Amino acid sequence: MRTGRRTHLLWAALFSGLCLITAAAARAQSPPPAASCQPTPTPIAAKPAEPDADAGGIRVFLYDADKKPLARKRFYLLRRSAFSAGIDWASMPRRADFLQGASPQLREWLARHDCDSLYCPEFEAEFPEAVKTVPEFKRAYDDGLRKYRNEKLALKWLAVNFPLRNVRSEYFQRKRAWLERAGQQAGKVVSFMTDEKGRAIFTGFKAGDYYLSNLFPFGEGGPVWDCKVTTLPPNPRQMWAVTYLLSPPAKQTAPSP
Amino acid sequence: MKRRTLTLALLLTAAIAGVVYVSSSVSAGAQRRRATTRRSAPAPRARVDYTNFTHSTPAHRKDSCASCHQSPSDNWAQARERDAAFPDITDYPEHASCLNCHRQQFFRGARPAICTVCHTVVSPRSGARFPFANPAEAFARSEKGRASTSEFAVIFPHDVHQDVMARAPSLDENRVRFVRAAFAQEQPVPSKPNSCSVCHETYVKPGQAAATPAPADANAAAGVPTLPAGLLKTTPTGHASCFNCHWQDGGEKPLSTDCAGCHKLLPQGSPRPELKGKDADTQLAARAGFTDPFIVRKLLRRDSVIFAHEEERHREIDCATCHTRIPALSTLDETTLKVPILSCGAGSSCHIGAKPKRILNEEVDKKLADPNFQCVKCHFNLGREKPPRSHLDATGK
Ligand code: HEC
Ligand code: HEC
Ligand code: HEC
Ligand code: HEC
Ligand code: HEC
Ligand code: HEC
Ligand code: HEC
Repeated sequence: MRTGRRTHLLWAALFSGLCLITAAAARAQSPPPAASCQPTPTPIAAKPAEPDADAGGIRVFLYDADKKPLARKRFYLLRRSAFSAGIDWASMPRRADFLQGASPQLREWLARHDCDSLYCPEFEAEFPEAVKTVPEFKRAYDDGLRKYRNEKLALKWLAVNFPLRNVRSEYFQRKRAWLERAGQQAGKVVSFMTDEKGRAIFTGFKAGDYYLSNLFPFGEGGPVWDCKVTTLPPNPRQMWAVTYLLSPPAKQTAPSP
Repeated sequence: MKRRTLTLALLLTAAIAGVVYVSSSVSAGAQRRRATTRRSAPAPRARVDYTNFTHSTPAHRKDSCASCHQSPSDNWAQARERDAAFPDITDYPEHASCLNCHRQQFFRGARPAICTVCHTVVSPRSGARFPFANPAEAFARSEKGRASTSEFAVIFPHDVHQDVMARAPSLDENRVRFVRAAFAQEQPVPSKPNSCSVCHETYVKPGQAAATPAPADANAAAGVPTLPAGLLKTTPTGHASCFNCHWQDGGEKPLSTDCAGCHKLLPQGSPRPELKGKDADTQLAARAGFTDPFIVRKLLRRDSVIFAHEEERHREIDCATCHTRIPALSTLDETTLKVPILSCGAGSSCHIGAKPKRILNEEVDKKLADPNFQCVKCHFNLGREKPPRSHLDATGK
């Protein structure tokens, strides 16, 4: 069923070209490297029966190049290709820019997990330890204890009393705002987070062509995918399963952070 | 002269609002609506019923919520058990918030009617009050609570919070899964940890040790329908799972003082179908032993009352696999709460498929052949109706 070879090559060629251009345009922050997708089965381009017909549903499976599922990752179903929507890639926020005032201990602690805000469960699980070793958390805990006179509460509400808002959630908020704008420009239909098997289901949208993209790289310097999705299940009202193999960027051009 | 007609008109409007309110409070919705039985019918002449508070009154909507509701309440530490207590809104607004406009009603006669909005006894000496709507569990058990539904629906944008709490599956998690797979035969498989269970737990009936999966059988012997255990998931009933991030003193917006940031006033008389139920009805809920009013409400809202979250295979599936509309989920819009029938199996073919014939295909075929056939695999009451478009589409009919 892998007849998508040719398209794959074409994409690869296109994107290596794109990467070359981006490498040339040496900016403070260049656009993320584009990467190709390999759908199985290959979408067959054909017109839907009626232009505004309801599409049944698509179930997409997203795998990385090593065939590992891309679990709990946010993707967008777009009306337009991400790379031709005029998105301002240079204004993408970077985590490193939101660490002003952080102590060395806090920086080290933050580097342990790949989280956009202090609120992710990995961090929360380590709060009890952090109040002992990280000065900012210690302060937040002492503040809480003074206010609520309850150790459990001081720990549970640690983030409320955390002194550095930029570290706590400002990156998350800026990223959210950036994605909102980018999504608008690319004609966002819906966003979704894949489940643990890298799966996502869309239902209740109109038949037509869409693009599937993460819009924002999962890791700094990581790729942005821009996959064409053709909603053409054998029976337009039923669920159609498509697997996407999302390859790494055609040419590794990880910009130095 | 003009002034009098205006006052009259105002009073009339208030009275009509009162009548509308009374009639609308029987209909249903996402939340509870205040509708106490203590209310007396409006007198023939336009009079405001001061025993019955509603947020819809234009004057009550003019100022911020915080102009009446103090956060935190003075009694927050007493309102819950010590370990569960946290600064919260656990009491009625104080007199000062009423007095600006209601001085007259406060000091009318020996037993001013307005006092009974909050007080059990009308007396210049006793401050005894009904339980406040929060904490909701205690309130729901009270007489006032049983007779009332909220005037608000809660706004909780799941997708924003999904990102807030997002995480990449760590190495640990993969390791756990590996270990689990190796000992799958010996150990009961624990539910998958996920960021949803902070706020949604499987409901366990009081007195029942744990949610153990049981076979679904709506039409058990002797016509007494039973529902499988581990059926329902709870939803938050208060601020415990919000204020750890949204507390006014340094937290994220909307702050706890900004009630309207999370509570949206429902239009008066908005349709509330779940009070009578869809797939389940109140009798079924009672027979199945559900008494908790929050949970009964969840049951009545369901399209598929037989579906059990703790069923062995269901519990192994990620929440988002079935709840595909999480990004759009809003309790204000019933359609976003639906779990699409397609997530019951198309693609993974658990319940939908022609070869081998799965249950949905089987029931749809039987129904099309015999209109009297009742679909029982997933439904209780709805199985008697015509199969909806979504079912026909899913099976390619
Ligand atoms: C004029 C004063 C006033 C204002 C303004 C006000 N409230 Fe209330 N609120 C009350 C009173 C009094 C009660 C208790 C009513 C009762 O128990 O019958 C109450 C009860 C409530 C309840 C519990 C009952 C229910 O229907 O769920 C909620 C929730 C609530 N208010 C939220 C809000 C929000 C949100 C706002 C702003 C949009 C607001 N209130 C503005 C006076 C006010
Ligand atoms: C909107 C709800 C509300 C209404 C209406 C209301 N009260 Fe109260 N009342 C309260 C609250 C809340 C307290 C507790 C205030 C406190 O402890 O600071 C209270 C306290 C009291 C107390 C005890 C005062 C004290 O210092 O301990 C008395 C007596 C009382 N109210 C009488 C009345 C009377 C009489 C009316 C009617 C004219 C009335 N209340 C109307 C909410 C209300
Ligand atoms: C911080 C708390 C929180 C988290 C985390 C959370 N939810 Fe919710 N959820 C809520 C609230 C609040 C409601 C609205 C309840 C209401 O209005 O009565 C809700 C409603 C729902 C409903 C509709 C319930 C109904 O009555 O039909 C579903 C389904 C749901 N959530 C699924 C999820 C899933 C799946 C996740 C994980 C991706 C999740 N939730 C994570 C708080 C949360
Ligand atoms: C196998 C599919 C499936 C999975 C997995 C699943 N749900 Fe559900 N869920 C449903 C169905 C079906 C309903 C009932 C919807 C209806 O009938 O309207 C429901 C209802 C709910 C409700 C509303 C209350 C109730 O029980 O009716 C909540 C809250 C909820 N689910 C949360 C979750 C959470 C949290 C998870 C993950 C721990 C989860 N669900 C996993 C299918 C699923
Ligand atoms: C783990 C921390 C956390 C918890 C718990 C939490 N929130 Fe939030 N919430 C946030 C953050 C962070 C934002 C985003 C703030 C921003 O972007 O400015 C947010 C935003 C919101 C918003 C505004 C959304 C928007 O579009 O800006 C609402 C409404 C909200 N939360 C309601 C709730 C409710 C209701 C609960 C409890 C059921 C809850 N939150 C629990 C962290 C949390
Ligand atoms: C960050 C979001 C958030 C804020 C801010 C918030 N609430 Fe709530 N509130 C909730 C959630 C979630 C629930 C539980 C779900 C439900 O009631 O449907 C709840 C429940 C309640 C309840 C009990 C159930 C009911 O609806 O009657 C009351 C009373 C209440 N809130 C009052 C208030 C008042 C008064 C304020 C402002 C001082 C406020 N809340 C601010 C999220 C919030
Ligand atoms: C595998 C489980 C399953 C089976 C079998 C099943 N249903 Fe459903 N049914 C659902 C779910 C889930 C929903 C809610 C989603 C939807 O409306 O598509 C639903 C919804 C419905 C509704 C309400 C539709 C609406 O829009 O309000 C009706 C009526 C109904 N089913 C009838 C039937 C009949 C008749 C049969 C037998 C031919 C049947 N169902 C078989 C799961 C099932």
